[in-house]
Amino acid sequence: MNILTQFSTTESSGNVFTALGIDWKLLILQIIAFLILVWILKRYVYPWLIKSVDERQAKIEESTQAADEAKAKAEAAEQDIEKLMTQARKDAKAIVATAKDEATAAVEAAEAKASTRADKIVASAKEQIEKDVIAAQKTLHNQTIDLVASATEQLLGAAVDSKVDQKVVARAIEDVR
Amino acid sequence: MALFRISRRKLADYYAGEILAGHEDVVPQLAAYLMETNRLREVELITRDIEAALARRGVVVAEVASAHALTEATKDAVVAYLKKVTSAAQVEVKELVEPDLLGGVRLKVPGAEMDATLKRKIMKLRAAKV
Repeated sequence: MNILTQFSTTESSGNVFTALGIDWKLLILQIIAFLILVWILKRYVYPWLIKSVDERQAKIEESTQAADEAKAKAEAAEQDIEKLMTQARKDAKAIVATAKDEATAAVEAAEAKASTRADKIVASAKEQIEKDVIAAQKTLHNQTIDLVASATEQLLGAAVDSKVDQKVVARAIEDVR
Repeated sequence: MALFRISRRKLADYYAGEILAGHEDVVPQLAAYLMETNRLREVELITRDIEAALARRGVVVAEVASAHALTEATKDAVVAYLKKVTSAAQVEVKELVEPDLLGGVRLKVPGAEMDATLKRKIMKLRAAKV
C-alpha cells in the first residue's frame, strides 16, 4: 500500500530518477570511477595479464612442442629399440646357432676322441693278447722241448747199448766225411 | 839246486821229440821238473802244448770219448777219419768212456773238436728253447 502511494507521489512530482531512487550525481560519479577503473585496468592490469596469459600460452605451446618432440623421440627410441631388439634377436639366433655348431663340433670331437681312445684300448688289448699268446706258445714250446729232451735222454740211456753205439759212431764218422 | 825256468814251448818241443824218439821215461822226468819248479798247475797247458808239438811233427794225439768202449773196427774208422782231416802220419788215441754221452763219439785233437754224441744233440735240442 505504501509502495503504491510512493509511485503515485513520484509521478505527481515528475522526476523519474527521483521516483526510481537514483541519484544522478552519484551515478555520474560512479560512471567516472568506472571509467577510471577501466583505464587503470587497461593501462596496468590487462597488459600484464595478457602478457602473463601469452607467456602461459607460449609455455603451454612449448610444452606441447616438447611433448611432441618427446613423443617423436619416444617413437624414434621405440623404433631404435625395435631395431635393437630385432638385431639382438638376430644376434641371439646367431649366437645360439654358433653355440649349437660349437656344441655339435665339441660332441663330434669328443666322439672322435672316445673312438680313437677305444681303438687304442682295443689295439692295446689285442697286442697284449698277442703277447700273451706268444708267451704261452714259447712256454709250451720250451716245455715241449724239455719234455722231448728228457724223454729222449731216458729212452736213449736205456736203448743205446754198445752195439747200437758202434753203429751211431760209424754213422757219425760217415756223415762228417 | 835251483832249476832254470824253461818256457812251455821249449818244454813241449823237447818232450815231443823225446816221445817220438821212444824215450818213455821222459814223462816222470817232466813230472819231476814241474814239481821241482812249482809249475804243476801248468800240467794241462804243457800237455796240450806237447800234443800241438807232436801234431806239427805229424803225430796227432786224439781224445776219443764215447758212452761205450769202441770196437777195433770203430777205432780204425775213427783213426782213418782223423788221419784224413789232420793230414797226420800217425794218430795216437786216448780213449775215454763217459756213459753220460749216451751214444756217438766226441773227438778232440789239438786246435779242433768234433762232438757227434747224442748228449750234444740233446743239448742242441734244449738250446732251441726260446
